[in-house]
Amino acid sequence: MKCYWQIAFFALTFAIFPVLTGCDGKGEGDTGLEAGALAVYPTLGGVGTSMEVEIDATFSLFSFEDTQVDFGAGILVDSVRVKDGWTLVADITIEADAELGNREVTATVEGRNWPVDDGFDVIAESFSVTPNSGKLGETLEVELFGTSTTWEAGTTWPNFDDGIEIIEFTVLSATIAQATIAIEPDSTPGPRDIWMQNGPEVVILYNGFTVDRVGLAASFDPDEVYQGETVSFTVTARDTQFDPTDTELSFLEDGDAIGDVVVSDLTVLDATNLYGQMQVSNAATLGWRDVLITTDDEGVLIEDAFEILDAPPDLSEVVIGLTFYVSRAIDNSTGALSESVVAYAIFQIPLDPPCGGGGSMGDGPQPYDNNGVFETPEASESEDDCPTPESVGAGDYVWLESDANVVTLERTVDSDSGTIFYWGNDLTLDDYVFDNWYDLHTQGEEGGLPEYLLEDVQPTVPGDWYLQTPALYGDYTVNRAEDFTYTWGVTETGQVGALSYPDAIFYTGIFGSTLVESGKGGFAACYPWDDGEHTYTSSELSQLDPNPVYFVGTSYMEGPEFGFPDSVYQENVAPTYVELQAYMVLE
Amino acid sequence: MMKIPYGIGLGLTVCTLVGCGNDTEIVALNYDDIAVVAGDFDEIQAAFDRQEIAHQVYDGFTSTATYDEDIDPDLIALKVESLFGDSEELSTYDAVIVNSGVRGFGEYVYNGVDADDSLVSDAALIDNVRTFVENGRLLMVSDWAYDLVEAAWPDAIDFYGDDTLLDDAQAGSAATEGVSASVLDPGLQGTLDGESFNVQYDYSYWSAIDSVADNVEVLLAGDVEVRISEAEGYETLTDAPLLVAFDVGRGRVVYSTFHWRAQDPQLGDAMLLYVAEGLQPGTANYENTGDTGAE
Repeated sequence: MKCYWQIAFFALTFAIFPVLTGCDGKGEGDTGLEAGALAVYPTLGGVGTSMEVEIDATFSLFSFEDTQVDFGAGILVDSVRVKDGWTLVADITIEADAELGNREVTATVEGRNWPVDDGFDVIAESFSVTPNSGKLGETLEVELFGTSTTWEAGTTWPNFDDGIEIIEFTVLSATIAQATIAIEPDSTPGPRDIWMQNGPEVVILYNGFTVDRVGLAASFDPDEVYQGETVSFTVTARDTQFDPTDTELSFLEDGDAIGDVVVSDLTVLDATNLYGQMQVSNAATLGWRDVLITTDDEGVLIEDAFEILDAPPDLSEVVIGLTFYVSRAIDNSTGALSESVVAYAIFQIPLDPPCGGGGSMGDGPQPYDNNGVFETPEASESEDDCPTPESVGAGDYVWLESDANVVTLERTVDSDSGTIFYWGNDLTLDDYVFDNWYDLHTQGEEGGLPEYLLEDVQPTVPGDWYLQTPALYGDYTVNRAEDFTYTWGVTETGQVGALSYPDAIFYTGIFGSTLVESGKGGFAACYPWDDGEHTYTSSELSQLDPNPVYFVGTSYMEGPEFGFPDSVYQENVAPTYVELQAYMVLE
Repeated sequence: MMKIPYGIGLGLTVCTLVGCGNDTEIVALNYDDIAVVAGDFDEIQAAFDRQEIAHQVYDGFTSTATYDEDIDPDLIALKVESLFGDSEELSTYDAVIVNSGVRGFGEYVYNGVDADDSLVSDAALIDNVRTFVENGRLLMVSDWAYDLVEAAWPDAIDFYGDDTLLDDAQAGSAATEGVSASVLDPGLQGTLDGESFNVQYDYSYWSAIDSVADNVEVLLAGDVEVRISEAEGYETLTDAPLLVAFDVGRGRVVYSTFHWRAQDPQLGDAMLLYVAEGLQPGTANYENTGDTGAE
């Protein structure tokens, strides 16, 4: 329909236009109709690039028989295709030495010129991409090479347009970058513009990447699994190159790798078929998973390959996290003592399969008064993205009950992880009754933990304590060439020490510095006799580099092992402590 | 009711008047009723719109039209399955155009691993197509729909790769500069005003031809690159046929390895009108018939 009228109007235009404008059809007219009659898109291009430019007319203008386009010196017009009276497409090559800046573009139709002032801008920046095509469903690495670009990590980011996701992007230099891209299997084939954003500037490589119409494709069976299941799976694919020695599966949620499904066995039958076994974590996030199968540098993505369904919690595998403690800190500016009293409980099912390395324990001091200087244990280097263990509800409240008082812990849900825990709100030191034993009482809930009363599981330390000397604030400075002596107790009552032994233990340390010998993180620590006074010697302190550090003292004890009657885990222990932290400086 | 094409009707009348013998072959040159099966990758009907040739569009998309994302196949009532599956419906047309990227003619569904050979493996449907052409109609097929030609006339064209495997010929490489083709047909040379024509391939993995039978006319041929396999890379086919046509009974089959929509519109339309002689430009009467079905 449209073309019918276009053709009619096209003919009409040429028939009456000279009459209307009074022009002879030769040379530029100045009727005003020319101004704004044409629009050029895109409006800019980088030197040394080839691109396709579309010119649209506001009325049927272009002639199949006689239409030329001129972009001025330094831009070669390789071809002109008139689509219809309204639209033409020109393939142009911008020479490397083309003059930068805006220039006029002129379409010449049957001898008559139609100029577009400042119709095209030649800019210095340009870039190319290699390879410049990919298959549907393919994940591949591409390299981007810039000309006159100033790419920077953190401020430069590419966009490959619809249906292509940037998995990873690395700027190697101002002119070289790498990207791992995933072409969505249902992406529309065809050319894509690549947008390279560098701060506020954007340089576009028009039709820079082509999504080809053939796709790597694969199907995954089964399409539903439950949390905690170990299941067999099969993959049937087309055009892939599965290799027994170099094929891996990974699982993604919303494009991000997630470690809650583990492949325990994988057999590649041939280039397009494999099978195996996978274990779904009992805490796996519910929902759909994409499966990415990689072989060498080829990857095939199966979107929404399977769905993880909710499995009811196994109440025979609930571990208990329970603690009640007092934490104090001395304000370095004022010397004021801040204090918080914390009690919480959490009931969780341990991850199956286990996830993460957990780090090493490292060395530490031995009781008593055996000072030591130790290397800080290194944190786990595991890169696993572990799921959050599933937590189990036990009603709206749980209580720490004793003859002396009852501490109420209220159900709280972490909005990010969904973890349920029970938290004591607005607790003060009055709630923490020293030298006391609490029962853990759960309210119980349907589908979760029932009501339980676990007696005498949460202790409190035998007595309170405060740092008496020195006054650790105002950047209190310790000369490492001298001994550092401190005292603790309760001044008001004349109590010496923290009354910790024999049920509790007293522990101090100086943390936050590095070891002189190795440069690695290190600390001085001791389990002193709880006699109210202890000294870190200059020989110990001199093993630490001069740095701002934290002094920490803790009176600590644990309750007995316990567990819910129906749970296999009976080794839960509830710790308690009174801890002080203060800032000081080693010089 | 089977419609007699205008040309055949006229021919019969002439024969009645002058007494044609049994050996006399009358070719239907006027294709008035045209069905176009819309596919994902080609859009031959765009030329029909430009040339004001009325046509009826049947939905055959495997996924979505790459040339117009606004097309909703669900809004096209007529389907490729009903066109080819019903010999009566098929016979109401003088010409059927099958664009590249039509479902039912492939090994796999688009983007998947399920089979997509429901049409091409249907012997009755292939019979319908053969009968349709033998009765004096035009079948015009582009690129990925080649499996239909292979299934109906397996001896006519030796497509690249294993002809017993669906889609195996889909191995052509798309050079950005196009393929410089020799125009072998003298008449087409006149139409294109030259002995060479730059064929544009807008996608790679186009369906290539190794050779053709003696009765098949090669209108365009050129040196092309095809993918042997992922591991083995590419090879060059010399003087490979790119646009071919052959007669079947009183009808004609035209196959292009390329997409018509990727060609220069002016030259492409001229070439189309030449190879599908009998199309009638300027005959569409949209005011009387309403929408052609074209987007």
